[in-house]
Amino acid sequence: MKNEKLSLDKNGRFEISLKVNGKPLSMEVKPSESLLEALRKYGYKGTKKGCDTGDCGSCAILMDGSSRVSCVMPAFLAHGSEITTIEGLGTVQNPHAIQAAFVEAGAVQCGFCIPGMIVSAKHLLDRNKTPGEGEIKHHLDGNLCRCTGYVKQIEAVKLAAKKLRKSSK
Amino acid sequence: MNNIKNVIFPETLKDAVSALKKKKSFFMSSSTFSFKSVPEGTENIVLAKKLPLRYVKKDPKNLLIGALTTFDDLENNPLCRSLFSGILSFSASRCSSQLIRNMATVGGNIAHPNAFNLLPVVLTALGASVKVALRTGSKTVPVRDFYSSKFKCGTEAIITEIQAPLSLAKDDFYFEKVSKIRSSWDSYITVAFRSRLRNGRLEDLKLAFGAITAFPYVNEALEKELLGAELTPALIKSVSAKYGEAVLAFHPASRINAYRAELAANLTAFYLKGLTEKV
Repeated sequence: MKNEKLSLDKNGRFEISLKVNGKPLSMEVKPSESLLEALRKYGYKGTKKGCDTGDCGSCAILMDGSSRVSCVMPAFLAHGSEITTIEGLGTVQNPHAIQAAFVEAGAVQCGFCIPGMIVSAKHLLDRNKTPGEGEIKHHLDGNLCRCTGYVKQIEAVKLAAKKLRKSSK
Repeated sequence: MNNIKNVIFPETLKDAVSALKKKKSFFMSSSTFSFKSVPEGTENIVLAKKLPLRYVKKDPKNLLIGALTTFDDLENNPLCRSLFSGILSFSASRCSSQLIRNMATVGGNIAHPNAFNLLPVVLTALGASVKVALRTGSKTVPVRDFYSSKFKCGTEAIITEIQAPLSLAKDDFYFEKVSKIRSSWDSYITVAFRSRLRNGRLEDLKLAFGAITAFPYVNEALEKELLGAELTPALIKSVSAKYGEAVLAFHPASRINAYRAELAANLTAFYLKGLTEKV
């Protein structure tokens, strides 16, 4: 079988195919471009650029269902993958249960870290509907917040878990 | 990264090794540190993404871990949780943050030598081996030799599997990582210890230290002092102090290293004292 291969076009870019928030998308990306930069270039600006070294978690996205940092990942690596950004979870009019829980719990202050935190929480709650506080802390340990001190955000994840359990009944 | 012209997605190991034959090719797994680790001038990236190397299973002799297994997989795998007192699972949970554990692979952690990589330290204590695919076939080398001049391979080599011998699975294990914050990738020190007592004396022992040199630090001479000997308070004090001195000797002028040396001595003493209580 012939292996799949991406080659640079005449503009020095790769054309990658992926799904973003359920929609097929073709992106032109430079070899040195991170997935974060590519997503923001294509309008997915909910994914934030914080440290750019994989330490703060504000650029978190779901790649094939698992939460990852997009700032240290070359965009070409996402070829063939399914990406979910914060925009793919809910809207202002119809927020996802986790987004609603963050608002209700008062877990948002400046808001910069929140998209990454919600994406991380989504990954946790997709695999565990009843996480304990220790599990929540462990799972969100790569999402840094410089405003609130995490208490409200942990409460928000507990509330979101409750909402999701209720809605799945 | 700017010279990259092709990205290849091989589906078999044979194709991957063959793709790496091309000059200026580089093998990439999870991309955790790809922007830093790709050598200048690389033109072809061979991506591991489609290779069937993400698994944890057992054969009669070894626990087998595929090179694309992530730290999150290790942390949550039932075999890793139950065998070797769960040291693989516990140590994986102490690697950086969840977002990194979801990406970082076993193979990548071994392939790129760094003082702060956890797995080489743990696998050294476990007496594990690394299986590598080469142009000429495959080769299995002990983790210790993998980082020594005993093992030579070209850039076309691909780490495919880790093999941890089940004959040691019931030994006593201990892991500790001392870092500023829990989700730090780096640490002041990482230790992975394994031992087996018989009639109150150490029959087998491996004390591996990380965060000191690029490769796991092991002092075979000091291990020999402990093997077969009665673990008296005087022996524990003397050997622990020698570990501290040995660690300090790497960077004597560094204040952080002085702290590391103190940790090395204290953690060794703590572990050995714990063993005496089991006698």
